[in-house]
Amino acid sequence: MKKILSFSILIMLVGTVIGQSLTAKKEGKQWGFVNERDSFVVAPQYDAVGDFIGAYAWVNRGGKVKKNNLPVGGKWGLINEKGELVCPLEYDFVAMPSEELVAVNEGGVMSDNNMQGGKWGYVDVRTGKLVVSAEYDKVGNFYNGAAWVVKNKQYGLINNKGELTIDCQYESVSDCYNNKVVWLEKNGKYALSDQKGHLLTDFVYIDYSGFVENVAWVKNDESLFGLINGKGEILLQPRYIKVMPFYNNVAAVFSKAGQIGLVNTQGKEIARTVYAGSSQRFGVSQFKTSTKIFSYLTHPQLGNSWIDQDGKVIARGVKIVYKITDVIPEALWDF
Amino acid sequence: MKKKRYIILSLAVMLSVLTVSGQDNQQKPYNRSSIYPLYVTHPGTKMFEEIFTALWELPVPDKFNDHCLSLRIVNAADSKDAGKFEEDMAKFFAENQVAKRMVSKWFNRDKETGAFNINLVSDRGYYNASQADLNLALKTARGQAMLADAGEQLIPNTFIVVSDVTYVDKQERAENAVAFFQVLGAVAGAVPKSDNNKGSVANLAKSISDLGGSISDMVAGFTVKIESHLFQLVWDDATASTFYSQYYYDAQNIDEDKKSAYEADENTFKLKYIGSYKATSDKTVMRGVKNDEEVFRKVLARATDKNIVALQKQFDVFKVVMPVYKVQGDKILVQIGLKEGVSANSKYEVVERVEDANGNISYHRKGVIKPVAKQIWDNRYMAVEEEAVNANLNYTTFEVVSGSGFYHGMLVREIKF
Repeated sequence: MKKILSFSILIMLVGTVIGQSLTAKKEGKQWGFVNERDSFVVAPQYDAVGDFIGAYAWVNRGGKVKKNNLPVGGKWGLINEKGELVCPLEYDFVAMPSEELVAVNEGGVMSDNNMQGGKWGYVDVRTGKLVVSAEYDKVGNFYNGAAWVVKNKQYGLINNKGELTIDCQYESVSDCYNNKVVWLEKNGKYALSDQKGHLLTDFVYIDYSGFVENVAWVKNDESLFGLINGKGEILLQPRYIKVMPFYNNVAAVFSKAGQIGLVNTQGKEIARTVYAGSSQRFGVSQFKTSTKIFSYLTHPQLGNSWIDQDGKVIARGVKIVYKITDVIPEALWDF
Repeated sequence: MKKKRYIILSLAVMLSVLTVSGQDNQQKPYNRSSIYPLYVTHPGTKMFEEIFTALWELPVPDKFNDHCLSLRIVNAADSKDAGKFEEDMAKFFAENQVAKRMVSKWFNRDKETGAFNINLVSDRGYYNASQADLNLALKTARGQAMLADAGEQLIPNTFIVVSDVTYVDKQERAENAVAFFQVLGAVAGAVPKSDNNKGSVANLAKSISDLGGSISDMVAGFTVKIESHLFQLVWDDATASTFYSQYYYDAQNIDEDKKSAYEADENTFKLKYIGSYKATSDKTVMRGVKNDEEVFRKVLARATDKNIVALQKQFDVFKVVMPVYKVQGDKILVQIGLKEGVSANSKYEVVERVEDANGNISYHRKGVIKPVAKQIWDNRYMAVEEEAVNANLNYTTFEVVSGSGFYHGMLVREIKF
């Protein structure tokens, strides 16, 4: 579940094109870009180019290209759809921008489509200027105004002015979520922190999920899941053996007692059943005359059950029903 | 209100009350009763599967809080084992510790750790209590008052309605119906000789003419007999005191001894039998019904609702209170209707919920109102689909019998007259 950001150079190779209006075209030995009418908008002048991803494409001059590989050597830059160099052709590698900042490498070498060595910094595509000097061993993308960086194998966090807001002292630092928090790793455990390194929790979690609606699942060293909010406050104590992602602000949780419950993003339990089933899914279905979110569960004795997002349980295919002279097995009671 | 004191051993039990939430521009809070409808069916009898499936899908009456446990339907005892129904149910409740489970649900008990919390109590009581503030001493007068109010108004008003549902065989109905039709046939067209016959003929003709063509005769005539038994959760000073002092703890203060003691307790928590009501379902209007399953649900929903209304009329403790929806001039609008048994003869008292500086809650009568004829909302199950008269009103209009100064948010409760 944890997210460790790293560049995906494969993205460069595959060249996922989003919102592309220009297409790379070679004329002679040089590459340029043409529009839908096949007219060059960017004159052929580069030894290698990538497809446009969003509003930008990488370009290379002086590099040697082998089939289906990124160019080795030469200098890299970034152009926009007008053909303007928004990141000058000065660097040994450039990534794709995130929040108007593009990671650039100086001194590294391309090998097997991986950048080896060198140091990383950031160029602002609005000015073409290096705003974070190339001093880091690794860097991440910018999210919500911050990016993780690595120096001497230790992770820290910088802001979009290049200021180190969290010193490089951790085993990992996650991306910054839109609630402006990050996960820090120390001795194999994670803690939640703000962007300045102020801890919101202790280093007690062995895993975590991303934040959805300002809540995240956390896993403790007993492998039990709980729920915290963006302030690090515990909304649900870690006691679930399995949890599902939130869907429409509702998530299923599985307890050790074999129960399935539904919780919302406020940490409130909105339903509890005895249907600890072998299959469970969330979906949208035409139920009666309305569309409802539901959870489908099975139980070896009681059969199949559906729970909607309001927590109402409706059973289908019930196999066994007890009599009023019976003592009902404890496992079938939700309370 | 009598002050109550509970011996609290753990500070983590304490509730923090800031204010009773009540937004000025919205409905003021009121405490609804909580209900756990439980059904008894008869396997091996005609229409058992259809009844069973329909019962599973019945909604909990919307004027109550849903206090259902996971068990919703049980089968009746084998005839050789069956005793008096109320005694069988009492034994079932005792052996399965149903009363204690309902208390567990009130306090959201975690079966693994045995820990409780007050989330449901605060939600239903509209108390502004924060789980994070549990460590604040209940020693504040306000906190004690809040807990006392919850203990007096909320938790004791928790009920189980056990409805024994049996199918009324069509053949038996058909024979009686044929006889009835034959009698009517003889007088058809003649001037009715008595008022009683006049009403019966009119109703019968209406229901015959409304039979949907796609519903089989068998299903169209689906009739059940429902015997509903009302039980109330006992939550008095002694029960509450035992619970808070000997069993309650929260997730931050796990106590295995208390957990074991609670699980072993078979005597503290009880249900009290209040009374019963038996009725046969009314004839169903087929308009708006699209398939057999809807027929079964409609019949069962209306029949169970009718029994609940009858139990409310008989037993004051089970009466619902509803807030005044709007006051328009000299008319008071309340979102209750035929489903709650409102009729031209109904009378309701209007009460005002008052909280003093210490958080003590009391209810003061402000007047009496009665429904305006022909302005009673038909909010019975599927009344809209049936295109019933007044199905789209959304409220019943009342006129004042006595009192004045009514406002939105006051509470109304039916009274005997």
